[in-house]
Amino acid sequence: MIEKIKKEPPYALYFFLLAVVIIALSAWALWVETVKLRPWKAYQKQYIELKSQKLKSEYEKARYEFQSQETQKRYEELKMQLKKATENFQQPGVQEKYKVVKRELDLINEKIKINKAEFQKARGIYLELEYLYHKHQKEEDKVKMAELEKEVVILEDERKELQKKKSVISEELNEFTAEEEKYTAEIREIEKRVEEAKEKFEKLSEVPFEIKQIYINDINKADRCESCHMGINSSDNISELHPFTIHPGKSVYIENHPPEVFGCTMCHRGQGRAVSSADKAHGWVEFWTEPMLKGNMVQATCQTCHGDVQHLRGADLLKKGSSLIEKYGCYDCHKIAGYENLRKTGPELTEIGLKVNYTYLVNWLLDPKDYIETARMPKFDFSEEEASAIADYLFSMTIEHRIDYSPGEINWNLADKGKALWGQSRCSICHPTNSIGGSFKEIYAPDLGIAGSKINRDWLYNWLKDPKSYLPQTKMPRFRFTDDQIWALVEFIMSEYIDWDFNPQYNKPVQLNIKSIQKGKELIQKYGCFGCHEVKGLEEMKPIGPFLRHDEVSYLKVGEIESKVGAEISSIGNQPIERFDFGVLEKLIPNDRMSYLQQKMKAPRSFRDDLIMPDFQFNEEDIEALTALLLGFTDANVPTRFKVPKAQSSFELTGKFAQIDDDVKCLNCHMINGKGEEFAPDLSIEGSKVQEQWLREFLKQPDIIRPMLKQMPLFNLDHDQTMIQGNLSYSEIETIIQYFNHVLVSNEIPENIPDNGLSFQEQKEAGKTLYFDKGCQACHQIGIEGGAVGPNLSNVGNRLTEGYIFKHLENPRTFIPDIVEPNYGFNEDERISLTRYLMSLKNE
Amino acid sequence: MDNLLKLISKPDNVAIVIMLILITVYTVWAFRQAIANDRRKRLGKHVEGSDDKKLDTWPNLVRIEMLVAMVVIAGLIVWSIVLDAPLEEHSNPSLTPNPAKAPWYFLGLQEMLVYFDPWIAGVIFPILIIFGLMAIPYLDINPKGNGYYTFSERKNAILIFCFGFLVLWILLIVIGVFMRGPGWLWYWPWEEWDHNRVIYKVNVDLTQYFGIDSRSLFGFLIGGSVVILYFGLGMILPYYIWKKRNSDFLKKLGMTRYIILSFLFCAMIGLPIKIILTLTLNMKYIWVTPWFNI
Repeated sequence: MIEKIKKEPPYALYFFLLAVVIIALSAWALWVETVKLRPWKAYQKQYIELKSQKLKSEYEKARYEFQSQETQKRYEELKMQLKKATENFQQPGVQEKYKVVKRELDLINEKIKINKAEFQKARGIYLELEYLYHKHQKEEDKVKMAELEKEVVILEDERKELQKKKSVISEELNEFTAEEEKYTAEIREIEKRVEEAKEKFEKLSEVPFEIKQIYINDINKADRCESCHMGINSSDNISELHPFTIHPGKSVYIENHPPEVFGCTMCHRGQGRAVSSADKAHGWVEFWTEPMLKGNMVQATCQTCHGDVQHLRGADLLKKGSSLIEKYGCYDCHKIAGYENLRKTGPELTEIGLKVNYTYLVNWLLDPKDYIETARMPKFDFSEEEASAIADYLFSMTIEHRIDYSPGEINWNLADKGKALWGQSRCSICHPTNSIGGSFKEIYAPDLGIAGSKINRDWLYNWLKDPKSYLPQTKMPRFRFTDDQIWALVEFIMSEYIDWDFNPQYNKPVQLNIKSIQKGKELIQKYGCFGCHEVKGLEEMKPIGPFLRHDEVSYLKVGEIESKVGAEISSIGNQPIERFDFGVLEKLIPNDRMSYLQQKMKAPRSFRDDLIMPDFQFNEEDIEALTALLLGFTDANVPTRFKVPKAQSSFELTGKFAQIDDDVKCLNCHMINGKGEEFAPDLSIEGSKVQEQWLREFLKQPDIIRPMLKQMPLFNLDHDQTMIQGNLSYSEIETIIQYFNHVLVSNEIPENIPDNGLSFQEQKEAGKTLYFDKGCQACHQIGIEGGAVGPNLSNVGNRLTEGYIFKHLENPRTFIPDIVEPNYGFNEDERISLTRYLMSLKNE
Repeated sequence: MDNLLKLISKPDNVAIVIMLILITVYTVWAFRQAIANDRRKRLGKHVEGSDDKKLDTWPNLVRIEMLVAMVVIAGLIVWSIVLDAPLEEHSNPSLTPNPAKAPWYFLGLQEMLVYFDPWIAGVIFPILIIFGLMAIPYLDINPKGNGYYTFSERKNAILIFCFGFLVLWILLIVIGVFMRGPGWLWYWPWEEWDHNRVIYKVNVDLTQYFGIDSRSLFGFLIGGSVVILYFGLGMILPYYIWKKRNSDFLKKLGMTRYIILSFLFCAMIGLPIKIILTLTLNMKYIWVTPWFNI
């Protein structure tokens, strides 16, 4: 049985209220969808407003100019003139003449038409006859053909005649209307300016609101950055405001990397697809591994495609960072793609006990930079005890032939001779002394400011005699001094460069404690000294022991643990941020990649207690450069069409010249076919560039071409100063010249320059005029006059070959890509004259 | 505690927090109603809904349902606008996230995987749950409790349900969401997750306690007999006890229903038994077969 009970109320009010709420929420949802999640719409509107303001003002300016008195006057004038010209033309006499000429032209046109028709007919018949002749071989056809051929020739001549006549008459006819046309065109020109500006302005309202996207198919990149950054790739700047402004450095960045091909995020990173907020689009959100790089940091990504950052325009940070990596030898402990198989940064330590004194070594280990400002070795924060333990271990390797460190009596006479030798050998080009000198920064040479308190006398003698016997890989040239010279230099260094605060603990052989030696070995193993230094007895330690697992970055792959002390950093630029261990700093510094890298370089061990990376004491600029470089170390795989790999030089020196180079290290300063350094001139085409006789004289006695601290050292001291000694023997000089003449030549350089018919004297005079007209003397010196930016040209006629000068003037960048010298675009005559003039400059 | 707050405030877990609140509120509410009704009944007072009085579905119920639907729609709109879908890091086949968690409603099943062979936890148990739920109307022979709340009249049904739903389903989800950290290790809510934590633990099969290889025929037989013994005793013993006491319930239930009910009940109770064995004795499997492990 069903019994009804009281009914539920109808809840009309609730229904009404809820309906209102849902409608309101729907409106909110609509607003979110159309406005809030599409912020680019507002930017586009603003941009178009700015642009329309600009175009409007341009239009108004054009109109104002049009209405200005001057233009109006000219406009009216032109109109008047046009009217007058039209009137002139309309005059009965002129008109009649015009009509006559026109009729003549019509007549000729008619004639040409008839001629053409006849010509075509003849050709048609001829073709038919030709066919018939081939089929039936009738003689009469051939006769007819010959007749037709004659006829065709006549017709063609006739037509040429007519054409000639026609052009004459046409010109005559044009003269009648020429004035009129001229004025019409000028008037049109004035009107067009206003009309074009107006059209531009009006067309702007037709620009649609839309997401602008660059899609790169093969890497599936969709960059929608231009939806907000609308003016980034336009030719003129609408506004300085972000995001409407134009791309800075357009000539380097945009012109070489058109956005249609490269997109935006390949260089800038960020989340190219995102359009719902600026932060999202820039990738400044959690879990986006490649947030947009700000400011100079954007250089980081150049490395994705460019293999050679040392010579990359617009990537100064990378250049600096890359030099720092090579200088400090980061690759010794970390595996870094692109920096493989480089020589170890530090010197071999096996016989360090013979080289330096014990106290020095301990002090050095405690804080190298405190000791010598330019030191590359980082600070390991050893305690005094630890430092002596390491020193004990290192000294224990040479314990058998321990030496006396007591300073001897100084022979000042000898030291003076040594001082002269020091200058002549240009030691200070590479070696700074107390941070002075050492202008050649690309090659690290130790600061010798306190060498006298550091180095053992006998060791120094042996080193100067033959550096390679101690350190086979050294860059130090063998200067081939005589024993006397060497002793003089030793005396000079030992007496001049002394640390007056130095207080040697041991002048006698050091007593080493076995326990301490053992501890030293353990420390060397722990901190991986053998990463940078060759240490005998520790070669087997290279497959790193268990301490590596304490390392802070845990994404090392198994195979890579074996070879390096530190973590691999080849792809540190896009490793997920979760895999960086911020340790105790997790809540103290921002948890992003840049902060991590900067902190790691500022204070490497601040994350945890058990970290082993030493402190390189980088300054702010160094850290910035290294951060930019590291941010670009990614495993990003871009298609080969984007890649610009480093030019690999497979060039190797050969023969006897290679032996000479091995000894005096030509390639420390000079570059030959991509091998070597860029401190001194590139010698790749030296054989074609300089005259043989000059080269011979120069090698015997390098004279002054460049500023003081760039001069070539006197390997050969056979002039009448202090000591007489030939370093490069005559036979070696001949070897070098032979090598240059046969190997280091260029086919592009002609042996002789072309003759332009003028006499030698005339050419020379013309060249001289040109030299001063173009202002060459601003940079080059002849005699005692002129600037010092470019090489001194006083003796250039004896030095360079005429073919080289001739070719060089055509485009200086052909042989020296980053030369300062501008390209004047000389024509051949000018180049001949200049070459003749320069070749006449000879020192008597 | 930071960690717990982080977990609770994660957009992923909003649903779980809402669920927890709702379940608590409704459970408490239902029990209060049931206890109040029971008291009324004891005092001989009328319990609303326990008589045959009825109300039309249309429009009385439908209207309220419509109202509720509107509230839910409004709530969903707000929720979907305010909270974006929580994205995580780029997927990387060589580097899976740790811990890797299933959607929250599956976390109970995932938690079971800690104790069972995937075949059991992922296939057999879900099937038993679904079919068990479907069978309830046919197994339930108690006509009381329709239209009103009561506890005393449906004690067993309510207790079994509470155990099966609140403990074996909801609690496992809560454990999966809040107590499981990297490596699927147990973390209390006040503990911080530690990615480097390592716990050394070896689980062994039942027969290995006695030095018998669980994969051998002998081990197979022992394991199998233990499982069969459990189900056999669990199903036969109560039958004899009830039979001896001449239980009305058993008579009403009938043989078929009894077998199904007792099997499902044993299976359900087997789950926590295995969990306890694993937690206390490091038990891996009781019965190892080439096809499945229990």
